[in-house]
Amino acid sequence: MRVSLLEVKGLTGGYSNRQPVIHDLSFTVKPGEMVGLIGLNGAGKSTTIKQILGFLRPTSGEIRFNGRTLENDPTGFRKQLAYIPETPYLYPELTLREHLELTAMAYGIPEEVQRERMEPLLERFHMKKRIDWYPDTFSKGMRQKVMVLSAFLLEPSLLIVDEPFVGLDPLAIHHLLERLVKLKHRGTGILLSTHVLATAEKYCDTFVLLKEGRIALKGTLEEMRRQAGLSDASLNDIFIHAAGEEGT
Amino acid sequence: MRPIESLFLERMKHAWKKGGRYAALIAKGLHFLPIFLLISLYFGYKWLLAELPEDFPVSLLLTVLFTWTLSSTRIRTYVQKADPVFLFPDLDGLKGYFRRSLIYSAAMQSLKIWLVTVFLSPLYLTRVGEVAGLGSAWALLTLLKIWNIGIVWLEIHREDRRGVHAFLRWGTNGLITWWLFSGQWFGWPLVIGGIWLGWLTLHHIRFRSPRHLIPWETLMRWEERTVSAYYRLANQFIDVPHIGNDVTPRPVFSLLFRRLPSRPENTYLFLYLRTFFRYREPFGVFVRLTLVTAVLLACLPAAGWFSAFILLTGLYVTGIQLPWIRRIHRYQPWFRLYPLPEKQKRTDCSRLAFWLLGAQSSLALLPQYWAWNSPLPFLLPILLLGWGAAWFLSWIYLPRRLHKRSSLR
Repeated sequence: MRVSLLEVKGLTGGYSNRQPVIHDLSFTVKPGEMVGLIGLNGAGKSTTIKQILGFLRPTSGEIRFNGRTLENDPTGFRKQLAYIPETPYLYPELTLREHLELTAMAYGIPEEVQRERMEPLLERFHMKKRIDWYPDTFSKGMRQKVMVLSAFLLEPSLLIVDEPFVGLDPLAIHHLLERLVKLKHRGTGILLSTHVLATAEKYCDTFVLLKEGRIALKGTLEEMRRQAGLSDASLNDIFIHAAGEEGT
Repeated sequence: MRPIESLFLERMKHAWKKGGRYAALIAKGLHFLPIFLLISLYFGYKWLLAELPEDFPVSLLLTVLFTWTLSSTRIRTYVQKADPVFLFPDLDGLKGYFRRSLIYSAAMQSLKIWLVTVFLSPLYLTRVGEVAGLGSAWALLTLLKIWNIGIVWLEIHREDRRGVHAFLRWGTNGLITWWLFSGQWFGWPLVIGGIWLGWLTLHHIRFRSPRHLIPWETLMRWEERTVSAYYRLANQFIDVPHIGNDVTPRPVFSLLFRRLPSRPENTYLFLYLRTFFRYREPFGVFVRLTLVTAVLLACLPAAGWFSAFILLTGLYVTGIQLPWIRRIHRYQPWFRLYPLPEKQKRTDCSRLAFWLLGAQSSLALLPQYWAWNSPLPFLLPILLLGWGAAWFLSWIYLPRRLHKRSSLR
């Protein structure tokens, strides 16, 4: 049995201590595993991700990455973790090249390794010609590509991806998924939050289905079918069954 | 009144209320400083009028100052990002909205002309002319200012050759102001000036774009710049949450950027360097204050303590702008994700501030002829004082000030 890379245990939290958004969440992400985090709008997917990244402080529960917690070892915790946000966060004063250089510098990636990784990534995502462009000239999709490139440049142990397909063209989505699979095969654990259920069903190994901040179902597709009592159902059917009815 | 037309008045009132609240907060923290500044200004001005050499070109100085005041014309529209979507369907309403904006801008800019005229009146009355002449000049300058507002409005509706249009307007203002202050009231210059103004106005009207094409992008950029300028001013005294700013690539500094080795210890410095050199401000403030300090050091009496006071004031006023370089990134999620020690955010900012302030003291002092030729070796001690102040401001004073005023550590 593989040891967990990310372990979330009894996590409760949100934007205020008095009104938690997520309640008692427990799940794991193992090396070489892609976990799909799914749920309706407002189910708590982004809040869960913010808690893991340390943007929000949990009310209770524990988050461990490779045995470390953010409080005990913040630098070690973040060193092997990469994040692709739903909204691209860019520095207006940096070119694409400088965004990548800054990321590599922060994570201590030597210049030769940086160059080696950068070239194929830029080629793959059709951004080579735009290497010296500033973000104000980028389309929404290009801005999202900067986020994708920065995360892939790191080749992290754990990759947290929040709705990465928004704004990307079909070819970029294809290359993104191709890269995610490649990283997964190399042992990277991936937590993927998405609404594109067909893609999640095809690429993810296990799922965490959130409903109103609580885990409604979790496990492999087969396990979720059993939990929902829907044999042979697709992820879409399970999702509609579990998350579709208000207040159930 | 149509709803969109009344929207301008609502936004204007809201902006004034907000400005008033900021002014009250600033006034609370300033104590007696404004009174001190006014007294200094009064005595400084009096001294300047008494000491000004007989052959000093006052007319030229007035021409430069008024050309600047006339030409740097801003139109306040209070437009917001959602306006192109929500206001666009009512073109007639928008016409009324922008008419009000132009009337308001004309009133505010005329007030600016009046204030500058009042400020410069002692100089004018001492060296150039009488009260009647000053009154006529003020009236003419006000009319010229209103003309500038109309032309600027037409200019921003045209995408082509903006530089040429701005040059023509600045030139026109310069020539008319020079004629005004050189004492030639009537005759051919006035006729030629009138014809030229008429031709330029007709030229812009002839080539203006169709009414439905509203230059939203330009208007929003201008609005953001104006608001940012107010916020930056307020930010010198109180904590202001959001300050907008433009990015300019400035490729001339690329060589400097490349000298920084790619090491985790330099991560924030890598970013801060680009933040400083590529944002319009505080780089612009740095350049202007370096020039002002150098000019004051060159023009005012070269007494040891007085020169040191000017240098230290210049460094202090520049220094208090610099923590912005770090503060602008405080809501960036990457800033919280980088696997780097927390204190590095502060130390990298201090490293940059030290070199910038040190460079400023060198740039202000090295061209000073008197410091090199002084009977005592004055340049070295004052240079050391400048670098010492740069060290104190960047490593001790500014981090403490930043810590006191915000949650940043």
